[in-house]
Amino acid sequence: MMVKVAVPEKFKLRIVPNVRTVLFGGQQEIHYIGGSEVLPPPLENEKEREVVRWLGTDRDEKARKILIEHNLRLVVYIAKKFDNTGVGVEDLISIGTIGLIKAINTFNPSKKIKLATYASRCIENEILMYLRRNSKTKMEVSIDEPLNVDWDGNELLLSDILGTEEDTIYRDLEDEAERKILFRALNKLSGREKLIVRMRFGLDHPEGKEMTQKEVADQLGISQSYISRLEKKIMHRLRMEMVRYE
Amino acid sequence: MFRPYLHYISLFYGIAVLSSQGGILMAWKFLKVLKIEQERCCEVILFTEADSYKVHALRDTGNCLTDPLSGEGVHVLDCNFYHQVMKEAMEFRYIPYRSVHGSGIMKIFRIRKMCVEINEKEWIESPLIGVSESPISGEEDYQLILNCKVQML
Repeated sequence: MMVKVAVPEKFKLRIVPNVRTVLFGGQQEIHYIGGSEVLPPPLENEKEREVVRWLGTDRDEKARKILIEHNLRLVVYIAKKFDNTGVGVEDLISIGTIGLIKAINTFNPSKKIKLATYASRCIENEILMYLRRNSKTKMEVSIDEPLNVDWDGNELLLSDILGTEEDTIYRDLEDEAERKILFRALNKLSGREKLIVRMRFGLDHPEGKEMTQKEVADQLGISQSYISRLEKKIMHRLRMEMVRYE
Repeated sequence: MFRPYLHYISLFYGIAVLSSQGGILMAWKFLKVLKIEQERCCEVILFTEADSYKVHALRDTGNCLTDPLSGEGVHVLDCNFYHQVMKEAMEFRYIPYRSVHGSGIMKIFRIRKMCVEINEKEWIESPLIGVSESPISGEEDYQLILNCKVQML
């Protein structure tokens, strides 16, 4: 791009571009983006009426943007009233903005009501609906909730610190394996030996009720001392069988 | 034998010398421009609740957009990238902005964190991201314009 300024018979000015532009051409993209420290104030009545008239016309998009921009203060004002509900102000403003957009979409100027009045009802309704929906899940906490972040950006999650005793899982697995071995060994016993073990240790009883040696002896019609001797022999044999299966 | 052609040879030789000089100059300028471009851009990873996205970011101090509510700087994300790649529903709000293209309102939202790699990795918690109304790079060289406050870190 060259800049030439010339006033006839007065002067001529020509700015030569830098080598980069000459060699490589292309557009230099300019990115100035700024904002204001405060939100813009509400529109004057007359201006607002004019902008509202643009709704539904070819200037509809522009009208919506202007109305949203100049009613953001209203959203913040209403959102701050619900600050004590435990929900962050920014979240409330986000919800309130949705209410504002809905208000602008459904606003009817023929109803002789100011947009701010109508919008404030919509914004408040939207926030209240959100609070009602969220009150049910308020006490819930996500297991993936980050509790802290270290300098490298690694997060400490709730699931990292929740836990059980170390051997909880292993204990159940071990018990299951031992039970299998025991029943396999039991099947090696004779009928009477199996019956004595089942009665003595409540294996057949639905509540696992164990019988004393005396009760077993009475049931089988033999003496209690014989049951005691048999029991010792059975335990020894079971031990040998279980060691073999391990 | 070559006398009749000496004229042309010397002419050819002169052109060759001049064009090689010009070629070297062009190559030098090209490398300088590449270096400038490298310094202008950096890699940024954006982390949302659902996913993470790696983008090229422009380190342009021209972006001084600030959120009037929190006073924090806003990084501007390309609208095409947001709509076509991110596609996540975010809780957004609007803030007014001004640029060389005009003024208006910009949709902004918070993400979980972002990692900016300039000389070393810089982590920023809960940054504000604004969605541009039109594409920010004509040639899609970058998808994010960092806020000037980041470059002061």
